[in-house]
Amino acid sequence: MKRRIAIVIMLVAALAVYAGGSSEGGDGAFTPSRDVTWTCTSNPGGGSDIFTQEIKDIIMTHGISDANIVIDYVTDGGGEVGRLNVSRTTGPRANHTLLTFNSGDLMPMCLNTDNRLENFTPIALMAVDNHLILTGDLSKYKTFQDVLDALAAGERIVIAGSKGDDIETYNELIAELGVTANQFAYTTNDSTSTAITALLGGHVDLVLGKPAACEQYILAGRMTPIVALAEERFDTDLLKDTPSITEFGYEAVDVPNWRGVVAPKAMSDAAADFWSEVLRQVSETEDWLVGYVERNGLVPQYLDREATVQYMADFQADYLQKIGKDK
Amino acid sequence: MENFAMLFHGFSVVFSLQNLGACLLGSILGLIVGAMPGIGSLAGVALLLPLTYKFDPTTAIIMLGALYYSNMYGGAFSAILLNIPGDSPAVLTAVDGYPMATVKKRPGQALMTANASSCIGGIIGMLILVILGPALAELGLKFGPAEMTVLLLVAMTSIGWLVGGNPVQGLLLSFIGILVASIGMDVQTGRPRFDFGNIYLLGGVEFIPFVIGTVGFAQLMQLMDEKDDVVHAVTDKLTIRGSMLTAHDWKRLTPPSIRAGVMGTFVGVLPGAGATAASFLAYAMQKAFKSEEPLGTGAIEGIAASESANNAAAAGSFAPLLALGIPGSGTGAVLLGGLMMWGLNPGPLLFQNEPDFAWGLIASLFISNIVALAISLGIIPVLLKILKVPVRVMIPVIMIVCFLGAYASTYSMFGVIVMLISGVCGYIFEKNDYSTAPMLLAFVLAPLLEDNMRKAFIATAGDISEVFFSSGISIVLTTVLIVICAFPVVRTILIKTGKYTPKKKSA
Amino acid sequence: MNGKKVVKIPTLQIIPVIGFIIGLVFFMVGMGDFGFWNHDTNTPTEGFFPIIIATGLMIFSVMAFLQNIRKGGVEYRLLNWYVPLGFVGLLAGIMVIGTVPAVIVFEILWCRFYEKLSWKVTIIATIFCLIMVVPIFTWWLTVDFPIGIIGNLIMGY
Repeated sequence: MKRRIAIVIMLVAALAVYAGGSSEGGDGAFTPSRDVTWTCTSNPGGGSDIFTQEIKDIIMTHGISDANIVIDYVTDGGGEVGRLNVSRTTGPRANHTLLTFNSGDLMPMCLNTDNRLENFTPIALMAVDNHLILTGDLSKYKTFQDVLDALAAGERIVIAGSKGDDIETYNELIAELGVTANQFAYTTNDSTSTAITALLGGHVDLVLGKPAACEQYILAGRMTPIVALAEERFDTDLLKDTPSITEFGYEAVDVPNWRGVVAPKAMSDAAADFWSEVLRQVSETEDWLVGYVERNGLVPQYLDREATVQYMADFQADYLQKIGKDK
Repeated sequence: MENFAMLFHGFSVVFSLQNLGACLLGSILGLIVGAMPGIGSLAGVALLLPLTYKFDPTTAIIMLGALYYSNMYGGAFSAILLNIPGDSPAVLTAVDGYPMATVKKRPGQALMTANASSCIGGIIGMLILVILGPALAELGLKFGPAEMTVLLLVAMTSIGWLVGGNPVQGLLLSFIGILVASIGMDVQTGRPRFDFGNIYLLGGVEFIPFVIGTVGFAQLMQLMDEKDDVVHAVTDKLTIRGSMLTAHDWKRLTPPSIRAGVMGTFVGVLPGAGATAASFLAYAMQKAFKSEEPLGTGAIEGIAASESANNAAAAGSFAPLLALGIPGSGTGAVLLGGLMMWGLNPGPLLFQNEPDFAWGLIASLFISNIVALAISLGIIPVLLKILKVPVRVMIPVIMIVCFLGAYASTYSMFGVIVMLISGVCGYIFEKNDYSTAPMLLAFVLAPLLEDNMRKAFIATAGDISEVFFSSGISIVLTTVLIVICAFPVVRTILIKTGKYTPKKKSA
Repeated sequence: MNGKKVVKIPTLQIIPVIGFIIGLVFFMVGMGDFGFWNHDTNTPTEGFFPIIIATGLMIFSVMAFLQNIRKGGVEYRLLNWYVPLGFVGLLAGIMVIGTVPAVIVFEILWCRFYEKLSWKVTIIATIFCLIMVVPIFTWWLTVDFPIGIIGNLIMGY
């Protein structure tokens, strides 16, 4: 009896060690040895999710890495919990954890928490995104000129958008238009798709969003883009007829919306180099440049690890100064 | 009836060996995932997604749809047998299922009831989905922040039906539940509130560990009282034969299943509501109807309402997903991600551009409903063996299960600590005759109510009358709300003036 | 260690008091940090809803307190509290020696030494738990449970 127990305990102990997970062999190059958890801190269907899905898809279809990537949606606390969890990930998991990290994630993180870019390993910058304003079937306003006229006439307009950099863009927008938050009101939604729901149902007048999340609705004729908030028009078939805000005599509402990828601080250099290289390969594929970047009216802008650290750190420093937290 | 023609076309798509196999596999995995505490359909679908890359999109979605769908069946197992809801929509299944299995000593019938009403609810949901098709999604769009606010207020009044014998204590707990739910990031402003400087509180208190604690862990503490009793639960009738529902049982479960199925479907369509809210609402609605035994004591009607509604809601949530590309729940959202990965463009054009896919999926839901029912019925005898395990052995094992569920749902020890604290509190509450079900309802619905109410106020610039009377739907719902609130008052006045004598009523 | 000891605690009165304190804290923080109504935009603030609820909670707490003021203490048996106490022990074990060893030790201590069950039953219960932890949750559902301080040392982190 005693011996049987001993055997069972030994087996169990062996299982225990195995369950702890295996790590990469030795010092040399890194290859993923377990499932990769890619945290996305916004709801599926939103811009961040499409970005993440697209990269994952390209990695798989082009065989850039045969790692099994699992996207983990952690939207609690406006994404802060997901970011905090990733920043604190240690052990073998750290080398197998990635986080979609956009300007719209960095800003609220700095505003609301003590978590900073320094708690992550920046991997790559992938693209820069722009905002546009859309109207729907049930909305009173069919063009941006209608909106401007209505605002001038003292009408109250409600626009819906997502969290993060959408809010910043909205703030810049009302400052540029010279209207109050009461006259041009904003409702925050968990994701752009929720904002679109409100527009399609006629519960708000306009939607502020990025091209990726709105494309299908434009194609289906359910929503119409009325203005691009950038310096110039979008360079895509779908959006090339949409005027830019500068054509109405305003400055571009220029909140840089970059999309990037970071990893836990505890990720090893070898692993960070590996993932940076994977993302470089992704950024050079036709699928990425045409199927994602061009289709969504983005500007392709791959930066390697070193350049990404610099870019994101500068952005954070500027932002901290702007909100008076630069100490 | 063009939609039925499309549905038959959908069946013709599904009836290939490969698709049926995918449907079967998805159903089995869904049942297992659903029965695991803490791991809901969201995680199940997300985990299975990578497996489906190499599949044809139709096959892939059939598998995931079956998984999502049958998950609702699995959630009832641990709820009924262990009083630990496998997934949040099964919370109310536990409220009546566990007493029915233990106190009433009819575990087989409790499981059967859950399965049968899941099936009824699911089929109702799917039929509504087929008949109304994309129009169902358009109906959901009509519910903006103002309409949702009034609807949720109506739903919150159902707390009044759940509080039981002591309304003051029930409301006290409900309000604590609402305050706990308000901890964390405020959606409208993106600012943290009531986090008391704690980064974990910044993320708010998660529902699943909260429920596992309040319901399951508290139950374990109570079980200590009876662990030394030799006879526990049932020793006979643990066969499929002894588990059969009587004709009378069927008569009891059918009407609530149908009502809950219809209501659940529409709740599933609404933005952000989901299966959990549907089952709570259906249960509360059942309180308004006659049940043979008081709800909460092991009534078949309670299990039927909860299970039927959550399956119907699962079916209903496919309407906005397929017709508009708008996910009604977290799981729907992952499915949406799947669509994009397989190269489909979810959105308003899906039904037109990919009819094989959309109708194939709907047809596969019917099949997975039947498959899940067949498998569930088949494993009832195996599941019932759990009840033969003595309580003193069960207690330490379920403690581990509580840990696993709480940890797995949050990936953090914080979730486990939330579970422990809510467990101890839940035990004390029950001991002092505070019913915890209304607190759970308030915890789920209050954040939705607050978010919608504030959006409605922003949209109307603080004009309350516009929130309540801006649209036809709002006016109808406001009328319902007024009637519900006024009813007890009018009733009391009538009784006092001697114009009405109340009949003896259960619950 | 028979757990039969009974303690009477006036929780019927304590719960409303705690409820009132919670209400008061949320009310104060809500008022202090967020305010009730934003007069510039004429919309509710993030304090609006919690303040209403906190006020309601305080009222119900007072009512519940008055309702129960004459009632005696509620009986608590130490026995029931072995569950949370044991659970705290389990958590401590998980933090130190890691999930899998802690689960083994916990099951053996509880089943064999507290409940005095046979080794056979103890081992079956332990193995059942381990099947849940390792193949199902860790491998299949890819949940990484804590490996504890010692586990971290062994893994070199």
